Amino acid sequence: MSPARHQPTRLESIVAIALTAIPVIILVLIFTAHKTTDISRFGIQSSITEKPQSWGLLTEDKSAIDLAGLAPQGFKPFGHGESYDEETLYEKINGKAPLYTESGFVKLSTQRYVSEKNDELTFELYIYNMGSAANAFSVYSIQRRAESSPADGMPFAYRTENALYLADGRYYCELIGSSDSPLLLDAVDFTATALIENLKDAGPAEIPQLAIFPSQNLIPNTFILYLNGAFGFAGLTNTFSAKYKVNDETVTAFISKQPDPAAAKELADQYAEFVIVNGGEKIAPSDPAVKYIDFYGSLEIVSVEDSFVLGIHQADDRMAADIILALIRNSLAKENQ
Amino acid sequence: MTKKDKIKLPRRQFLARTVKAGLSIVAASALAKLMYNSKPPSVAADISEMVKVPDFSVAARASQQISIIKGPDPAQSSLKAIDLLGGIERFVKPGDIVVIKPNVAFASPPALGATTNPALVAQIVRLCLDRGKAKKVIVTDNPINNPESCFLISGIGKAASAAGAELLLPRPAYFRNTSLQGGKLINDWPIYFEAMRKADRLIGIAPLKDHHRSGASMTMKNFYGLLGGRRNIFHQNINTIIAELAMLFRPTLVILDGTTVMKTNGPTGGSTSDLKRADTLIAGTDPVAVDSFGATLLDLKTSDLPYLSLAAEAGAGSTDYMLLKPIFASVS
Repeated sequence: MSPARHQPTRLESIVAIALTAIPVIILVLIFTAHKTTDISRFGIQSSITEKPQSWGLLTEDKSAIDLAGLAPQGFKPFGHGESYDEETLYEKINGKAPLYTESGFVKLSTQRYVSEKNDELTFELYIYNMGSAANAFSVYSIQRRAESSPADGMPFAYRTENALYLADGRYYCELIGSSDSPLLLDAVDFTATALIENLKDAGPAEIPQLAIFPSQNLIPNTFILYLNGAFGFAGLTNTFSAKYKVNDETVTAFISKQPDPAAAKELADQYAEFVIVNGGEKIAPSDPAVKYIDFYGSLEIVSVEDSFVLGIHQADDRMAADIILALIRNSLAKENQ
Repeated sequence: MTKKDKIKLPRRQFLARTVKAGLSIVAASALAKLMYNSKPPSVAADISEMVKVPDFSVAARASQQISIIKGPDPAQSSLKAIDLLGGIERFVKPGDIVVIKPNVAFASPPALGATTNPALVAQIVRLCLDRGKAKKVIVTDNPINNPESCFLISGIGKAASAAGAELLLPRPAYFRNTSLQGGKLINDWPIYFEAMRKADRLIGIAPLKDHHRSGASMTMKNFYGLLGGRRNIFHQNINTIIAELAMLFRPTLVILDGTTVMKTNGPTGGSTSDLKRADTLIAGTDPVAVDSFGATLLDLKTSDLPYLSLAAEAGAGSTDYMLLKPIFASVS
């Protein structure tokens, strides 16, 4: 005779539920533990484990600009937009990162585009937010290719065989094509134009200091802004240079604005001393207020005009150098009036 | 019905259930005991051990340490360069596992010259397999940028695979820590060790480039790509780290491709106007000598690149490449 089926008591029910719940709780705990395991306990360096998380493609761009929307007709975005900050910039451009991070870099946004008909026709857009127009102009001017032509209708811009580079306010941008295909270059132009329209927060594009350089004898598009360490001298900051042509001689002139005349004189003396310490030899000046230094056969000239340090860098011809120095001094004299 | 009536159970059934429950507990405990692993995961055990990078170099041969080839096609030049050094048979033995380390640092099209020429990589792969009778050729690098993109867009992934190489892309588990004896920077630092673990030979193939930080990127700098971790901190000590890399990695052979040279705006370049033809390829067993000659193609002197002298002083090679009696030749 089988025993009668008994009804479970409340206590039995509670115990049964508790016993059933235990494995569920254990499973939840195991899952949680796996999600939060500190693998450094096992000797794995966090620097290694962080790596895959920081690969660029895993970081989708969150910039205000719709990078995918800048794709020209016949092209489409190739992969996600990427973005990099000061910590991660080297992941994209490796050894070139210091050029930007030492010049006020804020953020890089990039996007690749590929032709819908030919996957070998690609170009990549780089948008560097450099924080200020001066910073953007600096990285633009330092990298400017000699073999290039101006790109009309854009603030500071030039083209090379396969690329277009521009500085607009706080942004420095590169559009780099995989080849010099006319189709690709048209696409680059389209995206550049669309990009400028989208850089609404770029700020003023003008660099007022460039107007100090007289246009007479000036070689167009040769301005460079060194934020730090111009001509190898750490003290020479915020220094603009430009190239001039006198007959067949090329002359590089420079100016650096200092807080006051005393600071300008001190910096000029320090720079002259730097050149001399590195092998330069003082030579008789044409003007007592100007320092002339022979540097291994080239001429370095340093002078002061009010709060400006000015000079000529590595000139081959003294007469040409003096002509340009006089032009710069006159311009600065007018500036200081 | 009383409470006692509800829980009434025959003695036999009670005992049977108790025995079953007991056996279940014993079986579960035994299974747990059997499966319990008191050691941490094996990968952890490996990683906690410092590794030593094998010395892949070959014995020096007088007058066969460096060859310099003039020619427009780097793949053809490389054949001539290696033949003049004694042939690939000097460097690769039948059954060897060869690791080739090109520069795949950027997701950049081959036309921009920021990465190793894919046709040159493919040529060396074929040479190792066909004439060297290598068992396997592994092509690898540790780009900081997404490796898949770098190997894809540089064209190196496709070219190497088509030539018969095995592509190895970096994963966190492939890194091991190492220290360079007497090194200032490479101390308990992760390197991309997996490819070298079973390798018999290591061949570096680098493009010749201007470099914003170091002045030039050549065969010694190419091994920067085998460092793991946040290696960008070494950019502050770029000369020291390149010299230490030359001490840490002793390759079988290095090839420096100066057919097209990135003269400006390196190491990324971007414009084809950054590139100039030099139509020169250098191969050798002394990376310091190879790079010292390479510097001249960038119009630099040895003194312009302090890491060359640092590496030479540390015993990694000679900056005076002429002392090694380089073999000059040309390929039309």
